[in-house]
Amino acid sequence: MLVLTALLLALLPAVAILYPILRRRAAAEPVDDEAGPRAELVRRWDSALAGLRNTELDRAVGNLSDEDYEWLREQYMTEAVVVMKALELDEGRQRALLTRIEREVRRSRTEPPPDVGPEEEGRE
Amino acid sequence: MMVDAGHLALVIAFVATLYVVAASFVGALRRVPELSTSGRYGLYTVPVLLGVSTFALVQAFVRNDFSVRYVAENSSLSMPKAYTWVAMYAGNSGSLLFIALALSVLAVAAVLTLHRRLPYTAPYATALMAAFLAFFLGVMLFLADPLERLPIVPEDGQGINPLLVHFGMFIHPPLQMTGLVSVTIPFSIAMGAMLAKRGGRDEWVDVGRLWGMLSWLIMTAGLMLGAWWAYTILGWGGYWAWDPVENSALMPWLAMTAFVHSIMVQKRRGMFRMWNIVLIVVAFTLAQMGMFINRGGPVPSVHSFAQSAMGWIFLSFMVGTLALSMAAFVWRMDTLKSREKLDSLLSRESAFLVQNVLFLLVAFVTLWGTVFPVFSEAAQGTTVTVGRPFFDRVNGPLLLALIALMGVGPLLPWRRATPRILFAVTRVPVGAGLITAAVLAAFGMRDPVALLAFAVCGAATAGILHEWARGTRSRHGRGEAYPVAFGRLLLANRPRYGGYIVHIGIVLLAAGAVGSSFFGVQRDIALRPGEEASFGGYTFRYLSHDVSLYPDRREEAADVELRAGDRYLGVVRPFRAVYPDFNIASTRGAIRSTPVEDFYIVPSEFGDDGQAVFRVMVNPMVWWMWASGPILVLGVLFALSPQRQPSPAALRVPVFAETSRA
Repeated sequence: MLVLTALLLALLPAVAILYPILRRRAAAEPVDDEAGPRAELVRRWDSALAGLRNTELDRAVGNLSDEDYEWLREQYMTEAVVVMKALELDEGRQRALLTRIEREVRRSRTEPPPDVGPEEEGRE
Repeated sequence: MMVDAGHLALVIAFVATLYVVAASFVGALRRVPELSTSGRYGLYTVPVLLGVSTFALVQAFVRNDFSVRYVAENSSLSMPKAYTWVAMYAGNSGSLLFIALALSVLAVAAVLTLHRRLPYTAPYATALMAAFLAFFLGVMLFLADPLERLPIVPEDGQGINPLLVHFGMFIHPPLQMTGLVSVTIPFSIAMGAMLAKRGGRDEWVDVGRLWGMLSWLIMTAGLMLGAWWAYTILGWGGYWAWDPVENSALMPWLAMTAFVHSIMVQKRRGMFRMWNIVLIVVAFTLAQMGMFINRGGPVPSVHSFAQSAMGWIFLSFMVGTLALSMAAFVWRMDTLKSREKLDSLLSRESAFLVQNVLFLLVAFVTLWGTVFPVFSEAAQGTTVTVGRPFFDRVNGPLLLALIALMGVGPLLPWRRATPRILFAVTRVPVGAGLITAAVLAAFGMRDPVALLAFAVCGAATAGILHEWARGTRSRHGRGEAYPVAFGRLLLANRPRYGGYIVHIGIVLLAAGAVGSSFFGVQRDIALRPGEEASFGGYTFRYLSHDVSLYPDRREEAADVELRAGDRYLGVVRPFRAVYPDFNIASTRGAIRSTPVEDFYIVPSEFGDDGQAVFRVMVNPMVWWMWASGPILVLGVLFALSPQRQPSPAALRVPVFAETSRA
């Protein structure tokens, strides 16, 4: 009886383990790389959209000045538009565009953000 | 028969888990998908096998099968049958079985969420989860077999630890153990992504955040229930003693709190990639440290298992995994560079970073206080225990700073804020904090630290409420009714406002802790039946005393009539039980709880003539702490509730149209 129980218990993992190897179906299934350019673009899209949503919200509740709001909105909007365009490209061009975006982001970072001078502050 | 089947299931689960480790690793390294899938399917069977083992053990308890050593050591014929489930994890090996079962269920759930979203990361993560599972199963099989047979079967068992015979024990230990072991899941996902060279593209962030928050939620619930259990059953009127085992549960919670905040920065900005890996490694290591202390480590604690060599095996495993994690981190460091840099020191990202550092400081202060006895023993030959004053004095200000930051940080915008905006968003919270302090001072509160603490709590709450009010008003301006506007405001940004709900819970928790710590009073009062006394605005009369004899204990209870001024509040019945077999006295306080304060009475001792010495306490605001628990849970669930995001295709025309207009 114990031997039978042992066999039954061992059968469960044995079948589960052997099934994919014997069927060899998994190998035939195409796998989307999570680090592929498309997945990266979708993440960038989500991030830009969340950024836009938060910027609008922060503006509405008074956590952002007009200048910061415009600057942030432009940043997120540009990223969203570029991502949207890039999603229509083939994979090779998507990869090239991502590299270009990285370069542009690095370049824009060296430029100082617009300062909020006393005049602008006074206008609000 | 069932016990033997359970043991066999344990052995088969161990072998299957080892296969899962090998198949998943080799499948991932050699890019053999069918091997990875085979490993994954193998993992799916482990909870079933461990379920058989658990069922076998529970059934042995139900049948009083004292031929099983663990059943004989943790139950008896007189044990209430309702506590069979508690007895199952009351001892070392049974709790290991529970931990393994919980980890296997969590691992399967995690792999189900992972394997399609992160096909390259998933096999590595699966292998890591299975490796940790194999460790627990190996320890069980070779050192602490819960289904081991005794050569001679005793007629009765030794019984369950009396302190565990409490309703809270059905929930607190399972949640605490599951919480500690659940850190394995986000850790495995993060390490898996790193090993798959996918850590630097933020692919794992969404799933890592989800499991990080679930782990945080389980740990939070475990800690809260543990505090509640200590308050209601241990009879000392407190809820947190900075005991090593309590600390060992708090430390990973602190690190995980830092992680669930920091991961948001990676999700939003592609920053803090290395930092997040470090945080999850720290959280995981501290969780293992907790298990080490709990399993017979060198630090004495009121509620750890007996000291044994097993503690050192857990310590070795902890050191080994920490070393391997750090090696993998250094190896893959080049893939973990941030996509962006801090735009400004005045931003939400910076606030998150400061908050992270504060959380880790509290965690390491707690760690230092916990392990200090070991170092003092090694250095001076005498064990010096670090007590509550040390933790209160060092961690108190840090926690206060954290709550202050919790009030201001979320109000700052992402990327950058101007000093003018900082002033605009902080003036209401700061004003509210000052008003809170002024009002409390006017009502006679003089302790400057308590005033500061309540002011910080008031400021944090006002910051949240003010933002909700402004957001609601803004939506109302666009034609929405106030309740609709408020509801839609919350629903529009669930991670943010779920976080705010959690913050309100934390403020309640902090206010309760401050109120009870600074203003709690206690006195020991001896009374004979019929006598009465007054304390803290309450009058209580000791009505009668009775003794009940049970097979396992002698229980003495007192009926005490309680009044507040002229108002009759009822009769409460605290008791004291002595368990001769365990040489333990367990007291159960009678508590009358209101949002203002708790009246807590517990009999310290009874004389032969019925005279009793009562410890009477009035603990302000403890109720607030227990009320914070459901709010914390609600906040996390709200933050995790799925929110639909428009796809690029759905938004293509409007966005281009808007851009062209601009």
